[in-house]
Amino acid sequence: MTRLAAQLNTVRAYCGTQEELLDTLSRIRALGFDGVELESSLLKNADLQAVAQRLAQLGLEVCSIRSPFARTGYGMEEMIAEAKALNCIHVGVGTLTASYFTMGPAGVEKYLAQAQAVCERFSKEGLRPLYSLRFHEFMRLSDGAWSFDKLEAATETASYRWETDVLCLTRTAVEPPQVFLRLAGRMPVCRLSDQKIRENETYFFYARREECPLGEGLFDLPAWIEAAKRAGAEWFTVGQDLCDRDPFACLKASLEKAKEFGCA
Amino acid sequence: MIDITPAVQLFTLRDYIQTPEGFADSIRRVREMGCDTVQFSRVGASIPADFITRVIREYDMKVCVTHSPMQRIFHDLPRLIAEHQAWGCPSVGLGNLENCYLDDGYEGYCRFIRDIAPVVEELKKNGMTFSYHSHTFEFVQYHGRFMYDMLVEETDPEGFHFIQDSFWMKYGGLSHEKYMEKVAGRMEVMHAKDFTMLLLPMGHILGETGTIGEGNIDYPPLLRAAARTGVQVIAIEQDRCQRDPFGCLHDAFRELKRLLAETEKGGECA
Repeated sequence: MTRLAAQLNTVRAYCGTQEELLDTLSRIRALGFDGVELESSLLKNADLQAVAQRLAQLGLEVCSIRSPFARTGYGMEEMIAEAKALNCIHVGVGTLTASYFTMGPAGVEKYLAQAQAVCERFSKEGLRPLYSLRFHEFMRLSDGAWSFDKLEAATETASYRWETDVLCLTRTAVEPPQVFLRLAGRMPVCRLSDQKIRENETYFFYARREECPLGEGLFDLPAWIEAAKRAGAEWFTVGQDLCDRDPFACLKASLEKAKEFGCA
Repeated sequence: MIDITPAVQLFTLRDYIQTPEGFADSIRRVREMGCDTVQFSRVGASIPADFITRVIREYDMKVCVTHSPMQRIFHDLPRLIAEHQAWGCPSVGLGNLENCYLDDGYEGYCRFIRDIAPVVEELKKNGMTFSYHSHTFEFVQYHGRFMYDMLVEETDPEGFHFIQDSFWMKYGGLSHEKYMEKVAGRMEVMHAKDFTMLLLPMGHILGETGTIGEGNIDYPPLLRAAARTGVQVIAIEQDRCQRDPFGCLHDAFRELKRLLAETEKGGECA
């Protein structure tokens, strides 16, 4: 059975201090979420033990803790400590950044070599490294392949798992269910959001798109959720980078729709 | 195999079809590709209609639909109809809803539906249809309703038809197959262009129109849905070409023909 987590980034403005973070976690639980997707940057002002204690009191699980890939170069031990302190098995290791993909196939090979070492370290600690699939992985490289093809083929040896994001996938014109199918059994986290068209902001036929709570936009979420469940998703996380109203209200609206669409 | 005719949308060659000579040469080159059907769009306004008629007859070229200027649709319809009849073109199309309607939001869409109704009636009397080409902006919502859905539901299904575009549907993150089902029987011509991702300076990425086969759109499910819902022509288009547009069209045409030949009809909506 899949569970629902709130993307803490949505309410990042309310996580500035430890006190604010703990209060925000309480509010997220009160909304009805099973868990929370954390950004490591939002933990920097908080004592991990205090956060762990609050999570335990609330019965709120951490589905993943996300960090940029660069942090594995200088903060690996902190990443491991965070995951263990917060009883979180999925450690987000970011994505293939521009410094790699602008180098073409050679850049992807370079990333994979580094990622393999990172993933082995996390796996030794009993943790699952989680790759955050975005959209740049679907840009064709000079050899005609996607970076995604190369990354996906390598996961068997790199032992990482995948976090997909439906908003990012729609930026590639690739159908999310097709990606879920390819990642079946290896995609524990699926990030959900929706997208609407902004009024009167069209330039050279390109309409301005903006995020919105689930069910208020254009995405065929019921079909995508069904496909993600078939692919073995354990967690659906909901949230937005930008909200046009109170972010807690956006999370609440998304949670209700997510349940209606069959997430949990 | 899917029995749909591949065509070329002349919007792709708009820089080449502004003079009589350019128009004739472009039609010749499209014909030499093996393509016998085109859509007119942005054809030079100063090119006489009977010249256009002579050229397409010379090259035995069919015209599946046009994008005609809104001004002419509303204020020069009898001549427009006569031109289309001379070309054997069954439908007068509109490339995009203009700001005089868009700027008024919901009221603008209501007004457009009212204003286009007599045009649709007149076209029907002449055995023709009106074809609305959509982008993504029609999926704006007012009063909890997508304006595209309002266009579908509040217009005459017999006379008000649609041209959907593979790129713009993907740009919105829409289920294109579901929207083809919504206009089943009301879309004879569909636009196909691919969705490519271009690397820009500083590592930025732009989603851009591309040559079919060079981007990320999975065409077989779209082609099956097109066949199921009555699409007869797929017009290849590319708004911006990173190389010679004739070369882009040639490659896209060849790829579309291959896809149509190799994709099996039928099956559930993907």
